Amino acid sequence: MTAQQAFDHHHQSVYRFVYRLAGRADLAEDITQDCFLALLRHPQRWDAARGGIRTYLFSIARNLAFKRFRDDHADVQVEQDQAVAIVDQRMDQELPVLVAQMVGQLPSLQREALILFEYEGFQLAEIAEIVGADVGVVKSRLHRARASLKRSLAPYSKVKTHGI
Amino acid sequence: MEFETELTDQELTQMLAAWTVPVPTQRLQARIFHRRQSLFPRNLALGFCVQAAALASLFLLTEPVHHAVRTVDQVILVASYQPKTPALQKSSGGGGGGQRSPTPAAHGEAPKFAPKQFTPPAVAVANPKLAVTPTITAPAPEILAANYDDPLSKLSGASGGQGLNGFGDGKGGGIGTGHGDGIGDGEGGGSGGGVYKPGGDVSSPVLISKVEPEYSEEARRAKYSGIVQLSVVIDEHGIPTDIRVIAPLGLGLDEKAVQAVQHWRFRPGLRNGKPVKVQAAVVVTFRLL
Repeated sequence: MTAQQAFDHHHQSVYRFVYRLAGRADLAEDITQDCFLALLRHPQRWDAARGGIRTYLFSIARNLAFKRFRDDHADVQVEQDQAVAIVDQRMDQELPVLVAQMVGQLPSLQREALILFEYEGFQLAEIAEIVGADVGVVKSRLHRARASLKRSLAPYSKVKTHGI
Repeated sequence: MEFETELTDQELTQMLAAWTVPVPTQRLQARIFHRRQSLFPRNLALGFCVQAAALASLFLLTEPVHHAVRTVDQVILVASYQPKTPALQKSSGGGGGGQRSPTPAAHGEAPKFAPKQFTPPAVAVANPKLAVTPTITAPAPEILAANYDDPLSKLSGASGGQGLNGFGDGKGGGIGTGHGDGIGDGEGGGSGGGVYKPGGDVSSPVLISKVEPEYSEEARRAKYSGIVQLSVVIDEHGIPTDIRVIAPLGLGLDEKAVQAVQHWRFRPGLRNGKPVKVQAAVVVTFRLL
C-alpha cells in the first residue's frame, strides 16, 4: 500500500479517533496532519510484518495526542473541569454530549482503549499493539472503562428513568 | 436496588453509539490535500510541471532569503496566468463614466484613444474656454466619427448615462460601468476589463524591496513547509494592492505571506513609458532547514 492509499483510506478514521480522544476538532486536525506527515517522512519505520498500516497510523496518532496532552496539560485540565460543571447543571442535555463528557472523564489509558474497541472496531490484540501494552492489560483497562461508564451513564438512560 | 444503578452491556453500547464525530473541516481537507500535492511523489511531479510552466513566464527571480531562525524562504515572483488571446499586443483595462442623466448612455462612437486623458468625453460642452479633444486612455486606433458616446449602447438620443463624467453608469471619465478613464467594465485605462497584465506593450513590475515572510509558530512546530501563491495588483506607485491567496498552505502561513507582501515595493509596470496597474502572481516558498 502506498502512502497515498493509506491517506485516502485512513485519514478520516484517524481524525475520528483523535477527536474522541482529545475532544477538540482543531487538535484532532493538527494531530491527524502530523500523523500522516510522520508516515510520509519516515515510511521505512512502518514494518508490515509487525502489523497493518492502520494499526501503525493509530499508534502514531495516539503517541502524538498524548505528547500534545502533556504539552498542553493545563489547558486540557481546564476543559475537563468545565465539562464536569456543565454535566452537574444540565442533567437533561443531549445524549451525545453527555456520552462525550463521560468518556472524556475516564483516565486517558482507559479512554483510548474504549474508543479503539467501541468506535474503531479494533481487536484486543491490535489495541495492545497500538498502545504498546499486553493484551491482558488492555482487556483490564477496557473492562474498567466500561464498568465506570455503566455507572456514570446510568442516571441518563431513558430506559431506566422511564422504567422507575 | 443495585441493578438499577448500572447499565447493561447492551444499554451501554446503545448509549455509546450516540456519540458521533463531525467530519473533518474544509480547512483540514484543504491542508491535507495541499500536503498531498507537495509531498506525494506522483502529485509532486504534477506540481513540478505547474511550477516549470510558471517559471517559463518568469520575469523576476530573487535569490533565496536566509531567514533568521533556521528557515529559508525563497521568494519567486512570476507573471500571472494569462489566457490565450488573439493578439498579445492587446492590453486590458477599462473605465466608466456618466453624467447623472436619468437614461442610459446613448449609442455613439467611442472617443479618441489616447495614452493620457485630459478631458473626459461629454454629451455637449457649450463654448468651452479652452477646447481640448476628449479622449479615453487606451491604445489609439483610428476613430472616424463626430459624436462621442457608448459604442455598445442601443439608444440613439443624446444621453450621458447615469454615472459621473464620461458616458455610462460608472465613475471616472471613461465609458461604461467601470471606474477609470477607459472603456468597459473594468478600472484604469484600456478597453477591456480589469487591470493591465504583463505582456505586449506592458512591462512587468520589478521587485525593489521586500520584507521576508516569517514562519508562523504553529507551522514551525509542525515542521510544515510548502508554497503560497498570491495574486497581487501592483499599482502605479509600485505598491501591491488587492492581494489574494490563490493557493493556500494553511497553519497561518497564508497570512504571514500576505503580511510580508503588503510591505514589498516594486518599480511599477510601464505602458508607453507611463506606470500602470499590473497584475502579477507571487509565489512564496516556506521551507524549514
